[in-house]
Amino acid sequence: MLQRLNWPGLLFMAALLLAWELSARAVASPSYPGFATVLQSLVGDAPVFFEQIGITLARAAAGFGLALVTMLPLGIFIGRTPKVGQYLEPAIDLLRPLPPLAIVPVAMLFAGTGSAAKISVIYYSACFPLLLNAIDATRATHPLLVNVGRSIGLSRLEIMRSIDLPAALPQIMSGVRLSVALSLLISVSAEMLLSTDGIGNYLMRAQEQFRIAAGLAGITVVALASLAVNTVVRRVEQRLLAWHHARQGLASN
Amino acid sequence: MKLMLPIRALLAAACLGLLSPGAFAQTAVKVAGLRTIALLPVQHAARQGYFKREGLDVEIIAVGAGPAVISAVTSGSAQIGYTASVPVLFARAQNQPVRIFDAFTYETNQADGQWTWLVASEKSGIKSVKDLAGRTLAMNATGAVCELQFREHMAKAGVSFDAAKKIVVPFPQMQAALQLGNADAACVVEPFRTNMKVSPEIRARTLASGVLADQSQRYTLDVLFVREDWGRANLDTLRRFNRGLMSALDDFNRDKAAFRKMITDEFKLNPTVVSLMKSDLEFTALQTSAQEIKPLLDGLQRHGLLKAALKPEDVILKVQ
Amino acid sequence: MNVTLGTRRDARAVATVGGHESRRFALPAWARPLVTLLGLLLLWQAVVLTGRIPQEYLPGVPAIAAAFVAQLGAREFWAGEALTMSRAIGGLLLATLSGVGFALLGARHRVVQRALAPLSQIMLSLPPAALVPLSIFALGLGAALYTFIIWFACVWTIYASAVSALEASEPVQRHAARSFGYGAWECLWRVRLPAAWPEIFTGIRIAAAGSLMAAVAAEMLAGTDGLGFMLYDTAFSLRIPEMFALLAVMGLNGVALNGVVVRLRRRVAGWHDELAKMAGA
Repeated sequence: MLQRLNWPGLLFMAALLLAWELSARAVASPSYPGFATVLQSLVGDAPVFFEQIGITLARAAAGFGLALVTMLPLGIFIGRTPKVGQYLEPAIDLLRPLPPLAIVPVAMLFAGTGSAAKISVIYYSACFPLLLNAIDATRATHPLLVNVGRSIGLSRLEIMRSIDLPAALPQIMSGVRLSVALSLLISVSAEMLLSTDGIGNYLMRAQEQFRIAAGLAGITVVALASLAVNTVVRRVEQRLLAWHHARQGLASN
Repeated sequence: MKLMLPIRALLAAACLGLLSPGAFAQTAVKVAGLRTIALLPVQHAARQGYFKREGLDVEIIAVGAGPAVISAVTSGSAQIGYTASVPVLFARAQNQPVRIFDAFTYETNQADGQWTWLVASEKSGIKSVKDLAGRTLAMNATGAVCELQFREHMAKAGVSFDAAKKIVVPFPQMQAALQLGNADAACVVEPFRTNMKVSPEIRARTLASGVLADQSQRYTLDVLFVREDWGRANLDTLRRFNRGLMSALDDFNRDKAAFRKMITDEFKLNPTVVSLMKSDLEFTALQTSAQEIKPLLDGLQRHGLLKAALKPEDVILKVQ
Repeated sequence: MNVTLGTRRDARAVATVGGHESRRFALPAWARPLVTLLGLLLLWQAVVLTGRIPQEYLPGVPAIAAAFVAQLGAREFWAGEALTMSRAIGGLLLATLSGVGFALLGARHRVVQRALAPLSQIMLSLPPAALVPLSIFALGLGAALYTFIIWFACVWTIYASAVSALEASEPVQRHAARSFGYGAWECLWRVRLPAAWPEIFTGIRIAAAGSLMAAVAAEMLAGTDGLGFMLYDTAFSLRIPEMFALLAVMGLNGVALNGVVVRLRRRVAGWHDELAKMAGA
């Protein structure tokens, strides 16, 4: 078990935390609390943090889930049918760079300030990494694979399902990782703008009241949550892509 | 020989000029402020050269958010900051080294002596603060001026603030929230308040005005502040700054229409709205005192929004 | 597979789809985005006309178009546009250099990659907006602040893409490189990095949108100029059509930046698509 721990990673993080604490002591300003102070604030308010991050994660999961089930099929479809891509991709490129800060007022007009508005903003942002990666991965699928499929008489849909999807899976998983991270980030950002509850709201209040240590504790909670979520995603990825990694491992020996 | 006299005079004038105080490098002062109408006198003073006259080279940086202004001052990016007093009080309570030295707006118990209002749309059917029980309230931020205002007036009317629903939206979106029914009442400032009053769909009704329920002692709303160490070391600069600013305020005192015109031009607001809205800043005095900070501080502490034991004297920097 | 890669062909591009030639009428490449844009505008106007949201909060296309045109003539608009774009591109370049650089280092020395792994995962989910107050204290208001925030918003995405891409090198390519006598660094530089560019560019495309978002967010929260600040200003002055016109500008900026990145991708990794095309369906 000890061997599976990421020792360089842990040591590096520990070194960073130490540097943080030492530099905070050197600067000695209320604007720059050290790691120890922040940890104190974190442990002291632990139940509140748990509750708030739970709310944030639930919304992020809802937005991401919706994006996953809608964008993967769409991405593979666009990747396979160039005609559709030529019309839809400009739309994608036009909509993608709109900042969530801009979408929020529009979402608020249609959906109020509750979870629905926030989830719609999360959905909007989570769509693009998934969509882009699905399109790019499908396009980059080695044509040989598709030719084989066609030569054994598979239909368009069957090719998409049994050849495109697995072949594109490694890059799609990269998109999934990014989309998951983005969902969490946008969930926090949306809560900072439409402050009703969640960890983003907690961060805003701490900032406004200059409780810097509490604000940093909130950021730490977001960081820990993202670590946890990423570990889960990586486990899932290892399972799904076991065949891919095995093949690479064999070949490189 | 005849030419020597003018040349000598010129030389003498040049020497005198070099010796006069403002001739060499002027003191550079950066002012960071919220982009609201109260920053306009500072801009006017800079444009008219009133600060240059005092030997100051003032650069104005308009910033979007209050906490950012305070961070700019504490980090030394700016020397003077302008924002609402409540964020400064919060910062001071957390040991941030900031001190207030001037105030721009006050609230008093005179008619139309307030700058903040609680309003409700006509169609919500709310006629007084009592009707707010269990309704949805819109604020621009939690734990700050808006919350204090709601708490003060609802407590006075015997209605529970905690039992009401709240939404937090920036001021520009409050009107939409009221019109679409996302909120029943809102805490607003100008120009949003006038806009809501004249809008035929909202026809906002004023439920209460002023942050505090008791306005018998006048109290500050918007303030100018500095970082403590810089302020103490540069009291003379602050006095010169105040003199320059007072010249600008004198201009507006004489000609209020000019101030309204500046508002219309700078913010490109609808002139009708500008003519209707409240815009008379405190044009006669700048210095504020601990007595004028105390009511807000007490209010915040009374409702549990500020927990530190902060004394008003610890917040003020006496310049004069 | 379809062959028109943006080169100027005549309107009846001969398309080979699934091995069959199709002589149906095809619009020239430059016209297609315009058709999409028109579609989006019609959709917007339809939503506005339903009257669900009053026009003063959700203006119709004519009002926004008028405000848009008016802005194109305003000098301060172009000044703000130049500022925002230069900040975004500067931060993006810095993020690309550092992200790809560290990924290369990590590909050569696994220890570096393992050390950076938890940090990069955590930072991917931190909203740059949450860091702005602390950053103002550390960096003051100005260019350093913007550069840091935009760099922060982009670098983790690019790093993650680069790491993933370098890891996914085809073993065949690695073996071939070794049989040529390439050392580890040469293998990386000449074989693995070029093979990784397509996926890295996907990351850069995503980060490019993020750079614009971060630039606007920083300008709204701590800014004194630029598009974000103008957005804040128009919103607080209740000039709603101008606000939406600025949002449209931001969308167009994104398209432009994305176009630049795609062009770059074609120059750096275009052979990839050519290869796929040649083996061709």
